[in-house]
Amino acid sequence: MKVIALHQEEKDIIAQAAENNRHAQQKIYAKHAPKMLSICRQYVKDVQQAEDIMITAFMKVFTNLKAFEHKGSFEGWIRRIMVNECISFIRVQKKVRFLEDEFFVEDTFNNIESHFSVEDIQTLIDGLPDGYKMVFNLYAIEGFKHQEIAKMLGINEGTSKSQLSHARKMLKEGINRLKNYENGTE
Amino acid sequence: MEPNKIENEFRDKLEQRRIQPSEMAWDRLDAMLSVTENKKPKKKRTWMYVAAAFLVFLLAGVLFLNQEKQGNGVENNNSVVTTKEQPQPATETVQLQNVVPVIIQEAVAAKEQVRGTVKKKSVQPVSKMHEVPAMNTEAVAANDKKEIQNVVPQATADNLLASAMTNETPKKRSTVKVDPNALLSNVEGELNENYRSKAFQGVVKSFNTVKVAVSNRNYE
Repeated sequence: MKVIALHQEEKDIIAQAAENNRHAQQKIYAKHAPKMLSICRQYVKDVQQAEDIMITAFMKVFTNLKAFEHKGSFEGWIRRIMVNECISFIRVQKKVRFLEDEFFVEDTFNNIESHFSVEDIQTLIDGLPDGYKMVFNLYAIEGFKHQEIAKMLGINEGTSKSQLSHARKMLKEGINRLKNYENGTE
Repeated sequence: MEPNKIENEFRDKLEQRRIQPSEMAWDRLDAMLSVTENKKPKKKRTWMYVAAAFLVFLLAGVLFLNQEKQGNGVENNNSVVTTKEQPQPATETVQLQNVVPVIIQEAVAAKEQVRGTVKKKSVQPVSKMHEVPAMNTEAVAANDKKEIQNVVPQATADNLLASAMTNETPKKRSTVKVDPNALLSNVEGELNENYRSKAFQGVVKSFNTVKVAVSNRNYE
């Protein structure tokens, strides 16, 4: 019963925010902003830049609120807008070009056990080039399929796969370096 | 290529993470939202302005077309006038024919050329008429030549005058035709102003006399 009541409350707030009720908009922002900024930060190293992207994405959320059909979760909808904004930022601002090499190998990434902190994970991801980073985030974190990623980034499916394998290779190297560093200090 | 253990760990940890945005972030978003909200009604207004401007232009265009139609009528009258005056140079050439029959008999083609040029432009014939007698010097006596040369410039001068008159008259007529309404309205405005000032002066005068009378009475 509680869940239904909460859902109804969210629906009401969304309806109010769609009518430019600033209080309702602020409620939505306050609820979702910290997580959305975390998502933007995955794609962009600079927190200030990530915040700028988040703000423009929230602008799109509020101006297109009437288009939200309550089919999926509201958070998922906002998240999708954030991710799209990050991708377009990286593609437009940084002019990322993908190497269409379509070369990928099954890696031995699978059996590594680690207990890294989120900061460590973020520094590992930050170390990737933008193209690798986008594909890795979209595939491993957002859970998109290669076909979807290829469509989103305007590349071939094979390129998406090769970008992921490159990203994994680089991450593995990074993890090993980090482990060695931790062992060295211990 | 399935997401593996470490990637799941990455995802779980990143999902848990929250980054608190700066306090300025909401203010910026608020400002951006109010800017877009203010823009929307403005757009509607500009649409209205565009529509109004379009209507104004349409009205102006219709009025202008109507005026042009009236103006066309006047111009047609002018063209009639010019056609009436055009025969005059032709009669002058006929006079020339009477004066010098020998030349015309010898050079009919030349005369026709002259006629054409006289009708078109009044300056060109002068040179051409000079050429025609020069061609026929062998056949005609020297006295006749002089006469021709004397007569021809006069004729061309008349043509020039006539064409000048025809060019000037339509302008004068058009201005006279346009003016009356404006003039009338101006005069009416002036009349009103005169009347007002006169009435006002009269009121002031009577007021002054009353004032003087009252002050005199007070003195007394």
